[in-house]
Amino acid sequence: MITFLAGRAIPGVEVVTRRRYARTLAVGDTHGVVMVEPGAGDWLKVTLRFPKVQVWPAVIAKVRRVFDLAADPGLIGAHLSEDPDLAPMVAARPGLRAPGAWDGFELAVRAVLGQQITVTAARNLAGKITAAHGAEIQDEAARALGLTRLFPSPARMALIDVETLGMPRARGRALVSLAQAAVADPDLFGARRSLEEAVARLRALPGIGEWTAQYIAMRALREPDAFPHADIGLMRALEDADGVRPSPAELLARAERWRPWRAYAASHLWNFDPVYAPTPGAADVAA
Amino acid sequence: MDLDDDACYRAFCMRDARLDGRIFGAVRTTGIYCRPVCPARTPKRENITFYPSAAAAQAAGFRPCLRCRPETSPDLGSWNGTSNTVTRALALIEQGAMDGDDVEALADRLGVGERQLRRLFRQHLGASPIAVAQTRRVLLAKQLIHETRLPMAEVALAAGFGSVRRFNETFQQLFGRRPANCAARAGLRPRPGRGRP
Repeated sequence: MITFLAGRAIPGVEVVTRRRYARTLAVGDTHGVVMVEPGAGDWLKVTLRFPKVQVWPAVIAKVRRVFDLAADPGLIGAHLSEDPDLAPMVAARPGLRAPGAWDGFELAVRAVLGQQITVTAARNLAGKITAAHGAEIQDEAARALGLTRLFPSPARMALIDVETLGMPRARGRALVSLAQAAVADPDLFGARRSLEEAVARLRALPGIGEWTAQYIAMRALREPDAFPHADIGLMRALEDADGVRPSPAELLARAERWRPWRAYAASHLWNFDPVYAPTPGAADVAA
Repeated sequence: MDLDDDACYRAFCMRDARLDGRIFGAVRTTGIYCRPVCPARTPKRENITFYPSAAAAQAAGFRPCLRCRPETSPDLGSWNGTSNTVTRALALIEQGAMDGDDVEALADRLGVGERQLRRLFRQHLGASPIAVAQTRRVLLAKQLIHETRLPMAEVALAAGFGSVRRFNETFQQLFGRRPANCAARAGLRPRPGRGRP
């Protein structure tokens, strides 16, 4: 979990060390800092610095979602182990959880930024956009930790000039229209009646294809059965001895037996080797 | 809950951690409800009733155990691990969707009728959406009292209670004592001049 979050930490917004995750966070108009560390036993120790205690329940709910505290890895692992290809991966990481997201809009922006570039390049790009458009944090104690900015709000990003973003214009436009959609509908990344409905709704947004929609459903909506089947990392992880990879359709058919926890199967496949980090299929790119 | 009472009782006798958060046992003779992992002596079979959620035990008039601390049991959302209307509703409640106690708005967001949502909650959790949201606030307050040094007035706000008075009433009703007494019992020191309701 900490490795996954560290690899994606946006400079100024998140600071991750081996023993601690810290980040800035906005809950409504209230800005603050949340720090998460392993506790002395089977729990996480959470430290909050927010000017209003009323936001605590919302922040605690986010911590539970990001660190996937409601999952039962034993039950999920037992089911996934019925597939002989997954069994050794589950045995290697029996307690694996699926990382969630602090904020739906932020995760969607990250997913679009990550199209066609590496995790590190996407992170640097997110850092640049944050430095230019994220609100500054005044709290000196937070700044001392290297936490200087909030992730840009949808309202701010909706006004960005695409030309200044330093990325393909189509992708820049996708980001700006994503921000506009988030301003128009604050519940854009809220729960829906079903996974299918949530994915269909996300796909209606410009620059969001099946992979990105499933990825958002998986991490921001916490749908345990979401599955970005066109993912190149997933296909690579299932390469056979002759180096033949399953096609997206074959992968999707194969994933039937992983239901209702396909998102956890994806986590195991991505973790099998760091090379297999989430990578959108070609069809998904807003270029 | 898909377990019969005998299976639940065996889980309590074995202190089975796998069922922690999925079943709660309420003890008629003491008025207290516990987790399967409670270190206290397992009560007699005829004195214990099983509930699928803390909210159901609370709604039946039981108080949370001070030893096994039901507020620290694994999250409600894990009750069967798969996604459906009830788990989505629980996620939304955790994110504050029921802070206004508006069941109709919650049902709308999930695309089901209010009566259907109430029925699903009764069937799977044994409690109404309002009772679930209320129990969540109360158990968060209890956890904050045990684990932080926050003054009582701020515990009330942090746990999502509109006023300290309402917090005190609920607390008295559910725990059978005033919040300040509970803090004293937990060995915490409210700061002078603050935190007394």
